[in-house]
Amino acid sequence: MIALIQQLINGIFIGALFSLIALGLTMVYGVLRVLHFAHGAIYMMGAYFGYLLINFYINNIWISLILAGLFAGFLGIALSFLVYNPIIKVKTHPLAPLIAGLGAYFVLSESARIIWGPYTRSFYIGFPTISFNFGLFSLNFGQLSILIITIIIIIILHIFLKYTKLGLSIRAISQDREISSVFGINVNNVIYMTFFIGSFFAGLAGLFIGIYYNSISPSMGLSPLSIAFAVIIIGGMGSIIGSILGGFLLGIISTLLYVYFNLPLSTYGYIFLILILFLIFRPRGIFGKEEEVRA
Amino acid sequence: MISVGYLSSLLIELGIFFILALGTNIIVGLAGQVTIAQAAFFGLGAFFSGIFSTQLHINFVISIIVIFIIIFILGGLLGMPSLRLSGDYLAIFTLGLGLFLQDLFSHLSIFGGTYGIVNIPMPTIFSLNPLYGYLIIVWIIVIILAIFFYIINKSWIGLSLKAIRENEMAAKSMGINHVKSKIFAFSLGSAYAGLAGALFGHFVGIAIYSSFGVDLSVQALAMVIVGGLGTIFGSFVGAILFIFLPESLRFISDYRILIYGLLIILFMRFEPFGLFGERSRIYEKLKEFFR
Repeated sequence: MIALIQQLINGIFIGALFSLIALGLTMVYGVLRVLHFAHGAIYMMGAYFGYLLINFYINNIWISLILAGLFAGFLGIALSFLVYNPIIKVKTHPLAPLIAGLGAYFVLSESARIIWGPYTRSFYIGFPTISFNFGLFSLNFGQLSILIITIIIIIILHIFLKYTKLGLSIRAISQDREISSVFGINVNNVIYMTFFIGSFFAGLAGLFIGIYYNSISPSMGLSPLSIAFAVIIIGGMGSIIGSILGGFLLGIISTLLYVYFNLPLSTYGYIFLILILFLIFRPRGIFGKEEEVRA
Repeated sequence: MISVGYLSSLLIELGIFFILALGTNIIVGLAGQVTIAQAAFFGLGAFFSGIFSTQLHINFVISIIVIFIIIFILGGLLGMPSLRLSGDYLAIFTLGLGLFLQDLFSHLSIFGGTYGIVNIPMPTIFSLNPLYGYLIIVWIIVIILAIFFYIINKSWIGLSLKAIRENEMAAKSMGINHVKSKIFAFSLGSAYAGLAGALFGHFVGIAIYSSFGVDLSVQALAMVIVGGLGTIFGSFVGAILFIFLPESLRFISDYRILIYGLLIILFMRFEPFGLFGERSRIYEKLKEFFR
């Protein structure tokens, strides 16, 4: 019983990080209708920038986290300005922005490999090694702070989308881009803001995971990216609440399956199996809309 | 001075990547879908060729025919769930599939685990030096597959695929079964990749999970996007650019994938049908010039 609760907590911890990465993807998909493949590279770049700050310049995790998030956010704006916007404007092929995003992923990850080398690097400063015992389960300082910060971010984001003017415009554009621009919303600015917010979270998540596992590498973005895609399919494409719940659900289920079944699969393998089952039986996900799914 | 042996191994590699480009072109160029799992099917082909030749001792010709059929069926089965849905889903699914299969390659002992399968023999004909004999075998297969691509492209299957690519709704209303056509294209493109992988396994003699990563899939995608979508000549140009350029300009070899990424972005912006694609502007200008 105690082991089960401990695994459940671990699943929630992993799931919170999945949601954090998937939120940016969902918001970008909402306003642009584009699967943002370069999101994984922004996650990796955030981790590298934070690594440089923590090890060589600032030596403080919390300030570095904010700065790395900001850096990732501006990188996101640059990507949308240089890659996505021009390609969406010329309207060549419906999948052209997606393919270009994939190209951008490899441009960024290869740049990181060429600049900083292909090997994994570790942090000189980690989270304090304090463990909190809650009776039925225990959490270490890193897990606890990541969990708390992620949940706070999710709540703030929810309030932001629901009650602020910018949040309202993001939701309006997600529903209909043309009509929102008729109503006086500056669509381009809102798209840049969406990229900024989504990439901010991605960079933050990258640095979190980098510090927590104490290793970063140029190819670290690929598997979180594909997991985040699985999350947005399972939650329902373009649904914010879906990607939050989908992240937690996927984290908990895959952790439990990994612990209690002896198949020759990694956690990642289980996530992929769940994705296939959803594609077969409920392709619109938990909160998705039916009409957008069918080909 | 380039030695004959070096040149023939380059030509073998060119043939193998030409087949990979043709397969990718069936999925991306003709059917208009995005796949990031070509490396996984390429890897499956290489592993099967290793198992068939080193453990089961099956004849080379039978082995590659069986591999082609197995991967054709496997591609169809795996692609079916996401091909029923809109194009975005296939991209996500194939990204996951590529990572998942690579993970499986490194864990299962039938695929040699992290050491891979080694000592895959290189077949030959006319009792020639294996390098020259294999060169002839590869290019015979290349020609057969290119002719097959041509037939598919000109037949009603190719027409219906192109109709789906241009406007799925209109194609559906003309009575084309869009799901079946897309599954067929995905299966065939995967089978081409698998066959290319089998030939690659016999050529380099080793099949190991680390050679079949997502960067190979992106290379396959970049080949057809730069070379040209929907044409045999485009695939050929793509394969030449991506085999000979890194070889002749050794100093860019480290920046290879970075350059592929940049080329993908630039071509998507300025010439989405590639250099020698079906409707590319550069190709049209050239044709006008030489008329």
